Amino acid sequence: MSSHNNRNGFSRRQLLRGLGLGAATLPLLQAELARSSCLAVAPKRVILVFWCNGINNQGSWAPVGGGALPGYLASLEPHRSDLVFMRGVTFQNLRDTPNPQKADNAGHGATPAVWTGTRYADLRPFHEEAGGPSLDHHISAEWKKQGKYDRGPLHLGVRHEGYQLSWRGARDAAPPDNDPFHAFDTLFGSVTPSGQPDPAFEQLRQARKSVLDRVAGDLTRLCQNLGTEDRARCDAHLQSVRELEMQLQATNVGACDKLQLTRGFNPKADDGTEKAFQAQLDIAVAALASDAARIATITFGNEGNNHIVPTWLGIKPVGDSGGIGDSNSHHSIAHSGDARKLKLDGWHYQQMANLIERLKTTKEADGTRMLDNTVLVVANCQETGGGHGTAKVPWILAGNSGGYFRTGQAIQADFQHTDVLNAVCEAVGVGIEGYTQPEYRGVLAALKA
Amino acid sequence: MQFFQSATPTLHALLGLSFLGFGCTATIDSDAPPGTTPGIPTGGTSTAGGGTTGGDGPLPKLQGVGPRPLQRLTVRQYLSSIEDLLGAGTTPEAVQRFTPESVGESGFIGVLPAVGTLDARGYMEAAEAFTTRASARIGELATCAAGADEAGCARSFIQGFARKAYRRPLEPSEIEELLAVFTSGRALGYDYAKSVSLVVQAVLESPFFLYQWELGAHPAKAINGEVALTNHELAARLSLSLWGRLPDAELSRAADAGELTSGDALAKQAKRLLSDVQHTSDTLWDFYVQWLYIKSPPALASQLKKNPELFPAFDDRLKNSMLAEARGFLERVVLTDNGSLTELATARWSLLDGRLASVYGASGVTGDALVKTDLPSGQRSGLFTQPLFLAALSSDGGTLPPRVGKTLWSRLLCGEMAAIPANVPLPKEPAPNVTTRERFATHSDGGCKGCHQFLDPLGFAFENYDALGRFRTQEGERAVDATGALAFPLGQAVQFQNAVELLQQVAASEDFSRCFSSQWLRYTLGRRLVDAEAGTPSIVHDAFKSSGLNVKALWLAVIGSKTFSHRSITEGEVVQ
Repeated sequence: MSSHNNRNGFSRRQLLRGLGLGAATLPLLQAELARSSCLAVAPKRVILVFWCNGINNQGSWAPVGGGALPGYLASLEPHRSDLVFMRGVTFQNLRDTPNPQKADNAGHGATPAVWTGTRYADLRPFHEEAGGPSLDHHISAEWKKQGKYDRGPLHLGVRHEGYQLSWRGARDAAPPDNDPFHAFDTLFGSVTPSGQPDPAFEQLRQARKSVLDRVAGDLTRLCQNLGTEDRARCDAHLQSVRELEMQLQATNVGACDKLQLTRGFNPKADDGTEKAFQAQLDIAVAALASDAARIATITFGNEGNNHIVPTWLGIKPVGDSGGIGDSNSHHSIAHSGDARKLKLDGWHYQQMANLIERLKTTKEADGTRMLDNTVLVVANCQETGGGHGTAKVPWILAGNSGGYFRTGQAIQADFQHTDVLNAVCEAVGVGIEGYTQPEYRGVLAALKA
Repeated sequence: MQFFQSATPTLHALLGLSFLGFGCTATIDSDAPPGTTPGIPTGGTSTAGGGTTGGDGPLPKLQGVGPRPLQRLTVRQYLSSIEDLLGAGTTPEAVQRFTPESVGESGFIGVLPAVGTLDARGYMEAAEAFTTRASARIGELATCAAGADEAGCARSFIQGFARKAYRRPLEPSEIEELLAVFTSGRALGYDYAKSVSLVVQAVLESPFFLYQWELGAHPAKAINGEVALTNHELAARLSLSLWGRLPDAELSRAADAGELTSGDALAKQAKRLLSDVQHTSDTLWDFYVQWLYIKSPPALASQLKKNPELFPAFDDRLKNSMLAEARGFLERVVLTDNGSLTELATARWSLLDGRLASVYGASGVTGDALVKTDLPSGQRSGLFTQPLFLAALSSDGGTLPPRVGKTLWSRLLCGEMAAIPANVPLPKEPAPNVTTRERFATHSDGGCKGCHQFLDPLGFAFENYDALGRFRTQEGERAVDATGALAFPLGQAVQFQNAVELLQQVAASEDFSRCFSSQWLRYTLGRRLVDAEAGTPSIVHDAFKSSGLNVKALWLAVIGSKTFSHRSITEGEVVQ
C-alpha cells in the first residue's frame, strides 16, 4: 500500500487513523492487493455470486448439447470448457412452505433459500429468514472442525440492502460489506507493502483485543440466563465478537504480485456501481489468493434492485410511474424484458467472464491456475424478470474444484438447487449433515467428472 | 393481525403496486389469533389476569402479560443514548454501515436480528469514532488532578459512566473488569485519557448497554410464570419508549430508591417525561413515520424524491418544510395542546411557511417560519391530507392510489391483506387524457378485486391531490373523480365524495381508534401481542376512548398496562 500512499503524501499514521477510528474516508487513490496466490499448497476455494431478476430469454440461454451462445453470454465463450450451464434449478425448500403463494411467484423472496438447504425458519410474509446455515457457512464450519482452515467466509456486497443471502444458522444472518474500501482495509489494513505486519497497527490490535475480551465476557454472562430464543441471538452476537477478534488477530500477508484498487468512486451511487462490483470481485480474488479467506460471497444488489439504475450502460433514470422504482431500474427493466435487459444481463456475465479470467491467470505456487482449485457458483433468484418463477432458474458453475466437476457442458434437468449445493460440499470434502434437511440431500450426478 | 409489509423499504417499494390478492378479509385487528374476539379472553392461558376495568362488557377482561424478547437498542435509541453519555456530534461513518433496520412482525422496527460479524465490527468502529469525537467530553468526565491516583479517577469515572449507560448500578466485580481495560491501555503505552477511552469503547460495545436487559448477570424472579420488571428495568423501558434515550437523573434516582414499582410512581414519572415536549416529540415522530411509511425517519427523508421535470417546485427546502410541518403539527396537537386523535385526523389548520402556503394555495403566509394557518375551506383534513403524507405515498412522478389505499386499510383501519398473487397486472402506462384512477383501475376486477374493492376506493379518494399534495379538481383535461364507497373492516359501510368526507368517517370509526391504540401498543412493546394478553388492546382502547381519544392518555394507558411493567418468562429461561 504505502508506496502509493507515500507518493500521494499520506503517512502510515494517517492511514491508521482512518483504519482504526473509522471516522474519515481515506483519501487514497490507489492501494495494492495480492495478484497471485502465494500459498505453497493450493487449498480448495469457493466463490458464490448472486444477483436477482432472472433471464428473460430462457429459450436462448446456453443451449444444451452445444451451439452458439446468445450475445448476452458471448463473453463466456472463451471460458466454456471451464463452465457448466445449469438450466432448470428449482428452489424446492422455498416451494415446500405451506403457503401456496410461495410456490411459484416468490423469486424475489427466494434470497434466503438460494444458498441454504432448509425450509424457512418461519413463514413470515416479507420477512424471510433462513432455517439453517448457508453453503458458505456450512463449509466454513466443517473445515474448521476438520482442522483445515479456521477463518470465516468473506461477504462482499454491492448496494445490498434487503433479504440476506448468507446465514450462520437459522435466523442468524451474515450481511455483506457494501463498501469495498472498508472491506479492503479490513482485510489488508494491517500489513505494510512488503507484506510484514505493521508495527503501528499492533498497538491498536491489542487495545481492541482488550476491549473485545471484555465485551465477550459481558455477553457470556448475559446469555446464560436467557430463554432459548433470546439466548440464540445473544450467543450469535458472542460468536460474532469472537470472529471479529479472530479477524483482527489475522495478518493477511499479500507479498505477491500487485493489483490496483482504484478509489475515488461512490459505491452507493449508480455511477459507482460498476466499479464497486469490479472492486469487490478483485478483493475476493486477492483474499482467496493470499489465504485471507477461502470462501467469498459477492452479492450484487438485493432481491429486486429497484434502487439500481444502470447508468454505467448509458441507461438514464427516467422516474417512477408505477410505484416500483425508476422505470429504468434493474427491476423495471427486468419486468419489461427488452433490449435494455439483454444489455444488463450481458454486462453481468461480462463481469463473471472477467472474474473467471482472473482466476485463470492467477497462478498457484505450483504454476497451476487458481480456477482449477476453485468452484464458482453464479446464482440467480428466479426464472424470468417478470414471472418470478422459482422452478427453472438459470445458474452457472465454473471451475472443477480439483477435478470434481465435469465442466464444459450445459445441462437441463428439473433438479433442486440443493443438488448443486450438496455437490459443492462433496467437492470440497465436507458432508451435508447439518446443512440440508433430509428431503434435500440429492447430489446432481451430471455435475461430477 | 397480519401485516404484509416489506422487510425493507426497497422491497416495499418493489411490491408497491401489487396490493392485490385473494381472500382480503375485512376483520379488525385485535392482535388476537383467528377465532377470538377482541376483549374476550381466549381461555386456557395461565395468566394471572388483571381483573375488570372499564366495564363496558359482561366478561372480565384479562390483562395478562406477554414475553419481553431481548431487545437491542434501535439505531435511534443507540445514537440518542450516546448523545446522553458523550454529547452531540456528527454520526460516525461506521453507523451508516450498520445493517439497515427492518420492520418486524409487530409492524414496527422492534426486535432486531442477531448481531452478525459485520455489525460487531460496526459497533467497534463506531465506538472508536465516538471516543475520538468526544475526547474533550471524556476528558471532562474522567478528570483527574495532577498527582492523583489514576486508577482511582478511572474507577470513579466508571461508576458514573457505566451506571448511566447500563441503566443500573454495577457490581463491584464489573467495575474492576472495566478498570482492567483501562489498565491494559496504560500497559500498551496509551496515556490516561486514551486508556479511559478504551473503557468507554468497552461500555458502548457491551451488551448491557446495547440490549434492554437491566438485570445484568442476575436471573429474573418469577411468580406464577410472570416477572415484574425491576425498578431499573422499568426506568429504562419508560425512558427508552417515551424519549428513545437513557433515563435522566430524576428517573435514575427514583429507580435507585426503588420507587417505581409501587403506587402511581411510574405514572407520575411517565407524565413528567411526557411534559418534555422536545424529547417526547422525537418519539412521536418516530412512531408516526414507522406507522405510516413503514420505515425510519432518516430513510423517509432520504427516499422522498420527485422528478424535477414534472415537479420543479420540489426541492430539499420544500421537502424539509413538509417534514417540519408534519412533525410540528403532531407535536402541537398531541403534546402542546394535549389533543385528540380526532384532531389529528380532521384539523382544518396546519403549520405553514411560505413554501407550504404555495402548495396549499393558502394566502397570507410568507417566509421560513411555520405559522398556524387555517386551510382553504373543504379541501383538507388533518395529517392525512398534508403534503408529506401525499408526497411520500406517491411515486416521484405521480400519485399511487393503491399505496395510499393500502396505508389507510392496513395501517389506519387494521384491515387484513392477503399475499400477492402471481402474474400481477401492471397499471396502464401514463397517457394523455387517461386519469390516474383509470390507469390503476386494472386492479378493480378479477382476482385482484378481493383486496382492491377496499384499497381502490380508499386510494382514489385522494386523487384530489397531486404527488406534491396540491389540491386539484382536474387531472389534465379531465375532472377528478374522488368518490367512492366501501365497508370498513368492522363492517361499517361508508360512502364519500372525497378524502375529506372519507377522513371524517375514518376519524369517527371504531376501526380507527382501535387500530391506532393497537398500533401504539405494538410500537411500544416492539412485538405483536400474544394470546395471554388478548384483553390488553381493549383495556387500552377503553381508556383511550373514555379520555375522548386523547393521545397522551393512550400513551399513559399503554404504560399503565400490566404487560408494560411485567413479562412472562420464556422457554428455557433461568429464573430465581
